[in-house]
Amino acid sequence: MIDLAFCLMGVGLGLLLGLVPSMHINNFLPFFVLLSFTNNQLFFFVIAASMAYVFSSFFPAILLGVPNEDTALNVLPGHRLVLEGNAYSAILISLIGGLLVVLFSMPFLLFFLSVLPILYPTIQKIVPYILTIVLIFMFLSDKKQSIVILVLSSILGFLTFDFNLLLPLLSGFFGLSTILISFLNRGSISPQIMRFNSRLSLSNLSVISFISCFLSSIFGFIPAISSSIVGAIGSYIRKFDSEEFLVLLSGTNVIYMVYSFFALFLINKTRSGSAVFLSQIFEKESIFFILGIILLSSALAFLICLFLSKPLVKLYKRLDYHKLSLLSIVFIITINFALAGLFGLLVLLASTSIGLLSNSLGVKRINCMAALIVPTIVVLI
Amino acid sequence: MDLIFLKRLSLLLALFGLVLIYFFSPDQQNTATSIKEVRKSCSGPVSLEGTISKIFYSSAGKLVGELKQNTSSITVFLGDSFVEEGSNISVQGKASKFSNQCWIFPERVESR
Repeated sequence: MIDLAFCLMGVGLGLLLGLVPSMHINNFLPFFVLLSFTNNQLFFFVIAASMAYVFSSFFPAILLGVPNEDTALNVLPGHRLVLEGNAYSAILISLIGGLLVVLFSMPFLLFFLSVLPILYPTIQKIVPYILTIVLIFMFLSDKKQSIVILVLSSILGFLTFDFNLLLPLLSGFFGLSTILISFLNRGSISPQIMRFNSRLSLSNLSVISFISCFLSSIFGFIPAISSSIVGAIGSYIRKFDSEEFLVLLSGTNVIYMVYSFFALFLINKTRSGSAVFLSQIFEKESIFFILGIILLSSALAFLICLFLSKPLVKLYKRLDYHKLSLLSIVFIITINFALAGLFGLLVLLASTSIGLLSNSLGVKRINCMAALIVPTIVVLI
Repeated sequence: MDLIFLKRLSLLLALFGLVLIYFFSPDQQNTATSIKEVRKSCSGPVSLEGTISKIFYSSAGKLVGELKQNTSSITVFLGDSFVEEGSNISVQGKASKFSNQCWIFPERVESR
């Protein structure tokens, strides 16, 4: 039972990492090997840190990179709510969505236990075709100009495929480009309503979280399909407003982390950096033991984030937004250089340019995910 | 929105998580003490006593022995343990399936 202390330590570290923009839990995993923890303690520590990280990463994702509404053609749902003065509500509904998907993951696990090991070999054979359909869907559900982003991202994906450069790719497409737009256009956090001001009821939130769980159970085990693509597919099936879409995206982010652990135990596949790490020490741990750690750490992370949400929104608001954006830009460049070297910086430059181009063309930035999808299709065919 | 309800829900989830951890923790697994018990699931910790009836090299060149307990027997990886055919030993370790066969991967081998 002393191992539970490692769960608390993991939650603490995950929460801190999530609050720093562009800092990913994957960047820290190599250091965990140096810790002289037992396998059990590592399971507690890594799973708890990963779950807490996803919950606390909602703060910088929503509160940083907010663009000037007049100049940004494509405002993300969280940023739209910040512009409306509802940053606090945006954080809260994201956290609630995250908690609800963890709750719904339990019945889904029972379903996976009986079906996934039987179905997965067949699914594996049709993965390239599913990815091709997703790619066509991405093109058809956006403006025609999206082809430019799809082609450029695919080329960049091919060039970097053998070098494991996910960090500069994703930081550029989604992180640095967003913060640069906000920085150049003097984006700012407008006055915020510091009370829960969402029109979504608990039943609305539950329905959206369930949709997020359901869609992720179809696409979450397929390589190269990110949580944001699942969000885009969801918005194609049903029209969501900004609040609903934010819950869908947040829920999908959390459930993707949960499913990555399920995938490791059920089909021996790794779908996240944390799962890759655990696959090296995995022996015969029970899936229900893992579920227990997921539930405990998610509940703790939810409660702590809920408690800190008001002070953190106030803190982000009080900070000089222009300086904070500049600091984030410097930080992203530094961490990319430290972990991926000069070539990583070049990739960051290219992916940021593509991210900026997608904004100026007014197309969804999700098209940048072609950088992962197209090379995966080619490799699998 | 009832945040109190959500706080209670998260506490319940945490509690349920603790229950799962308690009952399914690898430390809580029963240690199998007979070959028949080991063969049932071929997983988890084992503590066996028996006689080494045969010592040979596996196809991968590893030193292995056949541990006999009454009429049942099971293969044990011996590694660099010093044992001879006919010696009585006690083995603590883990059972696992490998190449469709049940094996004992010992952590400690002692002659008795």
